[in-house]
Amino acid sequence: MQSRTQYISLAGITALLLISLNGCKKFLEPKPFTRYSPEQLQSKKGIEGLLVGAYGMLDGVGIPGASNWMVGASNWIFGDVVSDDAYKGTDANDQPQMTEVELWASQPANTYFYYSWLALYDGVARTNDVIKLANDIKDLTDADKKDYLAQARFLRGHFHFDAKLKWNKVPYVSETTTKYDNKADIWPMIEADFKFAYDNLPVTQPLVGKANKWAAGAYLAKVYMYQKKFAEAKAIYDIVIAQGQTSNGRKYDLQPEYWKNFDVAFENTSESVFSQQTAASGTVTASAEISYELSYPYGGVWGCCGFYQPSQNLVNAYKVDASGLPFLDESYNTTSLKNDEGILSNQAFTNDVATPLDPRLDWAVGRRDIPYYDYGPHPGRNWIRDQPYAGPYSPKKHVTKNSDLGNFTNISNFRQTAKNYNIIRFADVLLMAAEAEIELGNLAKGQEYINRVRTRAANPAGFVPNAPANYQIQPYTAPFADQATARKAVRFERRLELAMEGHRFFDLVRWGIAAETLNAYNAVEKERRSYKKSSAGFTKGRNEYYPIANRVIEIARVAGNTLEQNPGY
Amino acid sequence: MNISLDFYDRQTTDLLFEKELDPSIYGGRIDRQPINIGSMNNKGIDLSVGYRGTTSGNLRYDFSTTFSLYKNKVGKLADPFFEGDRTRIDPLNRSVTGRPLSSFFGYLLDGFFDDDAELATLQQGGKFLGGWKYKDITGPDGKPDGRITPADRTFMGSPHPKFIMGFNFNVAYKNFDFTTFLYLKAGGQIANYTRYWTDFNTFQGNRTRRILYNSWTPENKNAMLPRVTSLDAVSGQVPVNYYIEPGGYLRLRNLQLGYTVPTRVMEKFGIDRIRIYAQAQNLFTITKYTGLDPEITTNNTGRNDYTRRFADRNLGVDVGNYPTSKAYLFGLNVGF
Repeated sequence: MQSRTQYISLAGITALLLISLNGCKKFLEPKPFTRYSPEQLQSKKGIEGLLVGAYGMLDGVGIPGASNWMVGASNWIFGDVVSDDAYKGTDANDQPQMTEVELWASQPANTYFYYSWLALYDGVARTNDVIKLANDIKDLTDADKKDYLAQARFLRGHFHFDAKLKWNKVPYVSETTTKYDNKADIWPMIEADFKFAYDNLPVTQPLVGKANKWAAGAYLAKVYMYQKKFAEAKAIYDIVIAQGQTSNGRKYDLQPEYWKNFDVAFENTSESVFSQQTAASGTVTASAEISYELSYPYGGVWGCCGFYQPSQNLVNAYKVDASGLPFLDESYNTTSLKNDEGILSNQAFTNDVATPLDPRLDWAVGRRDIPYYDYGPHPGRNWIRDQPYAGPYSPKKHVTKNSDLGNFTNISNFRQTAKNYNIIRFADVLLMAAEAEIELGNLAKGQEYINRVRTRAANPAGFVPNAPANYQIQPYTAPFADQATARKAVRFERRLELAMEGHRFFDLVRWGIAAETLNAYNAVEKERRSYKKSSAGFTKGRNEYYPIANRVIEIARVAGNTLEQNPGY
Repeated sequence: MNISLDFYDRQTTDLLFEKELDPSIYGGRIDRQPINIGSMNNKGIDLSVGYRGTTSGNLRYDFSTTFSLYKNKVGKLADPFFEGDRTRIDPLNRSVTGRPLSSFFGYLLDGFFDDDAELATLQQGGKFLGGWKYKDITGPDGKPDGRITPADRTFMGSPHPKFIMGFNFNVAYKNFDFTTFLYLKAGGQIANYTRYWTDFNTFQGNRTRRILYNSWTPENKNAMLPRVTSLDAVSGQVPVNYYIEPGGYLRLRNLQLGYTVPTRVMEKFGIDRIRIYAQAQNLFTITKYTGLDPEITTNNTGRNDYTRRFADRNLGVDVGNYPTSKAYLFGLNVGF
């Protein structure tokens, strides 16, 4: 209290001084306050702090009025709930704005889009501050300056990339932008930012969370993939896969066991290309991962809130044939894997232990009687908020294991964790590279990459131990019959490997198959989850992108800028 | 007898208003800039009449009444509008130039989807048989377009009363005294947000009898609430005029009857004065409002950001505050 009072009186005196010096009018000019002035930051320490602040916006936290789940890199709502991988979960009418997203009924008034936009462009503004400052600091070495500029442009590329995926028609805001619109396609600018980062970033970084050359390469290639520039993408993937290493100097590789990607102890190891860094322990929680705060089993040690339940369609997709390969012809979805729907936790239930399943299922999905990390067998309905509404499954990948509670979570809220979100992990790189090869007609090379991912998944040390399930998984042995088959295989593999990691919807849109895939999904899924009957379906040409919040458009207009709404909204 | 009458027409200018900077350039986390730009106009009348008198025969009485009326109008704003806080649904209040502060804003109900033919004619998110239709007010061409979008929202009421009155009446006759205070709020509406929890397919909890008896069924199409179905993920999930109710009321705030024991009786016990009384507070309220209490205190209803809650942005929203209690008091005043 003492120091606070001093602070206030100091602020008061400063304010008086400023008024007397500048006069009232000038003092009340609407210049951003609660910010350092650029003069105060003219040092290496200053720019470092500013840059860390830009990384800090990867989780989007801190926008006044926003809820943490509406913002941030993990995109579990905008990338998964809207897709065929997950339902909103919990019970009907909890977060109706999220149901809008799930049922493809999004409206421009939905505040999720408003806050998501604010968080991303806040990230952009912070990177622009770093870029402006880097050009102003005199005692910065050329190498340092290049590093700061390259990191800032990497992040600026990331924030614009995320906005581009969500809204497509978005403005590109650089350090010199004063007026903007969303008429031009901003892919070239995003590409230029990542290209600059790739050409200028060092191979290793003193802080593990910072982007390095190889992260920029992987991201640049991803940007090429979104533009269908497969040859350019392949060229970079070839180098990244052969030479790439993490910013702490580990050669890129898949971790030997799949589950290590979802364990705090194995963060920032060989598979981590670029991650949102998080920290939480005991009562130190300011940098905790909290975008998933709603998405925990409704019960157990978490207490809340039962969102983000995997779909039956996703669970079925993990069924494999006798040779351990997935059903690329969609026949997996004609019958559902046995589950505990309608059965209470204290009633007997036996899992289907005959149907062969891809072992990755039980890391992506929590289901009855399968060990849920070290919490013991998933109890089924007791952990589900409203099973008749949103089915019997729980999310899993982002949940912290029992023995890490308190040490790697908030001590009093286990939903605030130290679990990084992997924005790009090496399996993603390999599968993207496989896709590029297949699109270029190099089916064998594509299969080699896919098989690398599958072989890792087939390591029995990576299976959920003691699970009542018949795990079967094999690499592809026969060459792909044709390009169409290979394409199906790589797309299917991407779903299985990266499920519940926030990528699915953007992949479907990128492949141009969102409408047919999601309408086919809804046609079956509405018989399983009756609330989905109220969806009017996915409208091609509209629902690939989200509406721009009308409030953002309004404020832009007042400031003299024009933002056009996306088609159909 | 005394009468006082005030007219006023108060123009407030240079109100501090937090302008939102363009987030696409400046980012969304930057603090809003308070600038002296807002203006507001209040016109009104305050009248009070008091009369005091005695009659022969020890009857003393006084009577007073107050009457007050105002019209509020928002003037200049830096942004196109500002809103109240989000509860679990979009803000119910919106303030724009030319309208009363914190007017209610949302969709107007326009009957039900009574049959498949009606379902086919209007494009509305989450529609279902027996569900509410919203009024199609406008479209891209400024005309109704058969499609419900946020552009179809409109102003649906105001929390400001037409006028308020108070009546005081005191009588004393011999050793008896009687006091009463009656309060009247005429007009003005309340956004009964508690209905979100009690009237719709929301979180588990108790429901009103309105759901049981007044929901749409094929036999009862002239209903108040939509068809009850677990599939309903839309009803009540946006501000609609179902939430808006008449907020006027007449309340007997105080009624007191006292008796002072004659002095001569008490003197021998060394007591100067004994008065016994019976009092009733909030004995009755006449209102059409269906919530717990029309005398709502406007709270800061916002979620999440506790630093940005402003009561006057949320005028007239009943979020279920503790109601005013009815009290009966029996008292004894003793003076030595």
